[in-house]
Amino acid sequence: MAIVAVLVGFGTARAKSGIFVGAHADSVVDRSGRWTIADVVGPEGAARFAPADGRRAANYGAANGPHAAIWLRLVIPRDLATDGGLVVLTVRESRIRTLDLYRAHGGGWDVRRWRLGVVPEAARLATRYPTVTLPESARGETVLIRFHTPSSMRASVWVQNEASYLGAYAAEMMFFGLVLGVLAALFVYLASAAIGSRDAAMGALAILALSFIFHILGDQAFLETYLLPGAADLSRIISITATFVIYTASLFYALNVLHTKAEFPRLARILGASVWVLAALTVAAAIATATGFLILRRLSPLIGLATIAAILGLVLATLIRQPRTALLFILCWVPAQATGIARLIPDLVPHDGFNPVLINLFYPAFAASLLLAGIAAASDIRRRENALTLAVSENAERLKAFAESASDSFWETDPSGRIVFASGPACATAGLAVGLAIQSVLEHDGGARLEPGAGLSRAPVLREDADRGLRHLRLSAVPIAEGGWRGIVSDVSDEVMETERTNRQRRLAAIGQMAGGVAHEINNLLHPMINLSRLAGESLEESDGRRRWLEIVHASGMRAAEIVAALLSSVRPIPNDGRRAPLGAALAEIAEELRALVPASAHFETHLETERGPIVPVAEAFQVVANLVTNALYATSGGAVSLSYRLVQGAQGGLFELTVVDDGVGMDEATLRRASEPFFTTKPQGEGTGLGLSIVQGLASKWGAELKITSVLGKGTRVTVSLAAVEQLALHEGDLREDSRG
Amino acid sequence: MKILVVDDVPAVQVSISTALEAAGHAVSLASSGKQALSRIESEAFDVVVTDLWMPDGDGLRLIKQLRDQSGGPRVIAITGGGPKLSIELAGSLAEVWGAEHVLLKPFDDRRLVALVEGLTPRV
Repeated sequence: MAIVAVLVGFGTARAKSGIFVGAHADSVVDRSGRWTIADVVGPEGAARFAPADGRRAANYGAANGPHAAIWLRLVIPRDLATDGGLVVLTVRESRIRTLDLYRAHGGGWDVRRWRLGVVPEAARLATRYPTVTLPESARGETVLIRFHTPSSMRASVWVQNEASYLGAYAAEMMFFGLVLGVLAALFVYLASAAIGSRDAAMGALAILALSFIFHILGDQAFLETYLLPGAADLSRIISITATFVIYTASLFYALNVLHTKAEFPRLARILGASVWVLAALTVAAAIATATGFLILRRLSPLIGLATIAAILGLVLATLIRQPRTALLFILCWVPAQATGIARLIPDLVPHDGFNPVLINLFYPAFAASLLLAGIAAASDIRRRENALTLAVSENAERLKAFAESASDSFWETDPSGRIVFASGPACATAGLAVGLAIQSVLEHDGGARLEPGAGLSRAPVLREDADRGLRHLRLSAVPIAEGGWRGIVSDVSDEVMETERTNRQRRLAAIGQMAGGVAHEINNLLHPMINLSRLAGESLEESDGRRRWLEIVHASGMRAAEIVAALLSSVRPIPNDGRRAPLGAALAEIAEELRALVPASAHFETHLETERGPIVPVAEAFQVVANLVTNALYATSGGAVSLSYRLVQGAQGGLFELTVVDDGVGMDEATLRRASEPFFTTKPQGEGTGLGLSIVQGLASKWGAELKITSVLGKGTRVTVSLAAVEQLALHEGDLREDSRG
Repeated sequence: MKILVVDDVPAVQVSISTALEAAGHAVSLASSGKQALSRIESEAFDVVVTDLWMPDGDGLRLIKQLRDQSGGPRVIAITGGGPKLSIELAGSLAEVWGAEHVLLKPFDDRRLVALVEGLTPRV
């Protein structure tokens, strides 16, 4: 505040070394710009002036047209302490281009002229705003001032002594130097942060800082006074362009920092379009100003206020959804917004009262807002970075946990092939450890080499594990783009053993088939050997030694028959090797076997829709199916029998349904009732009912399945064995437990 | 009794027919299911003893067709097994389809004779 007080001259005014006279000047506007001194003196001329009301500062605005000149009439205060020096009159408005001061002198007029960017007589330095010196004797005199500005005018006319003037001017320069320095530093920081973080809001802040620098340089006439002397037009273009860029960037910044796109998509679209309109206006304003059209320059305050209003509306809306974000925004931007309004309204309504303190407060206030917003944005980025870092480390932890709990193990090397990551038991078993070269591990395994940029997938190798014995491990590798490899070590022991088991079973089945065929042939040979040798022996006398030989042949034949029977029972996979399989898979196997047995005259169809199902002993499944199919074949006379198996959706959930249908004779109700009776109540064995339903019934109840028989006399019979699909898991698990015990 | 023995192995035919003839039965021979059917068409038999698994056709079909003939011969199945056929299933099928007995080769021919003689002709 101290600086501000010095800058606006309060301190000096109290000491009478500088006096604000703006509020005490009579004024008149010459719209034509053609009046001379003669037009404003004399009774007629004097009457043109509006008397000073002591309240308003002179603010004449651009509303009067581009050629309008403003005349002020004021009295140089007598009570100004000059200490023998000069009286300095300043009009602290950097937008003034020319100023002439008329002082009555010897019946004529002594004219002091000031031109923007031109070093005045008896001075060494050009000033940013009109500065005219008068002799000490001018105190108490009435002077007339004519000045011209193409834009609005917020004149604050001061009369000071030299020391006060120089002090104030120096302080002002220091102030703007400070503001510009802060802005420049902010710009560098914000721009680098925006590039680093690719954050749109941060980028908008950087643009705001830069455009505000140019705005000050142009609007405060630094450019045409000191940097590019005389470049008044360029300065004006830069000033107006920078102003529009500030509007555009402000709205863009607000949209981004308030997350409008996520919170209010529709509003974001409308305001997003407004940003583009403002951007277009920026270009238009630059061109218009360069070509001498001032329309956009005059509209600029209105557009500025509209932008501020839009941002305020957006903030209020955001306040409901994201109070924290909105409050932070308000906290950061209240200084700039409030002083911005205070600065723009006098431009818009030129004759209204204004406070020069507020006008100049805009500069530090805007810089402060920018600083606060930059800090907020930086902390937001840091917060997001922290959240990101946290998320990344959580993710890494999660992946590590997955890797450690997975049955597969993972490894990775650096570009040189040295293992930098190895996790999981299979890696340890495979001999992969951090620090080892992957190539040496592979070579130890049998010479496979990893070629740079190529992957690897190799057949399982056998490794001894301290706890689990011999394990089959499969190692795969894929090249990493940056060099090196990463891959998986899978413990495939279970798969390998399962494959071996399946293969063994296949071999056994093949041997069984072959043995069945061989046994058939041998049995056919043995039959006459045994019977005819016995018969021949019996035809001989007891004393005949040849009878003994034939008895040996007979005994050998019997022994051979026993061996064949033993061979068959040891290799035949069905019916009773204790093997288990999902019912669907077992049925596929059984159906194939049955097909070979069913007479060509019968139509035997199978519709097996799934290989899934409860795990059951294959022999039991065979008994069930063989009995049902046999019954059906019995019932039909050259008719059709179908075996189907599918998963259906029942009221209680999924059901596996095994159905055997025939188009045979069917059963009447009495027979059906008897057929459905539990096996222990059926007829004594050996009487040959041949229905075998008792066996089916017994196995179905063992499986927890439901047996359902429907039959229509003369039409056919349908037998359905239903197993709940939910039972599959229970049955399966029980099965596994049983297996693991075995 | 008039008995038809059906088997594709001549030695088996000899063995069985010898035993049956020794017991006083009239035995005819056939070496395939097809041949057996044509014999049965022209001649009436009391009992047919047939192999289940023969290269040219299957005994099971023969049994089924005989079953469908009312007043036809009674059937005793004999089998030495087969590449796919399990003894238990073959027995069960033969029984279901109408064989009176199933004997697994090699069996004692005297047992066959006893079983044949235990059969009463169909009415």
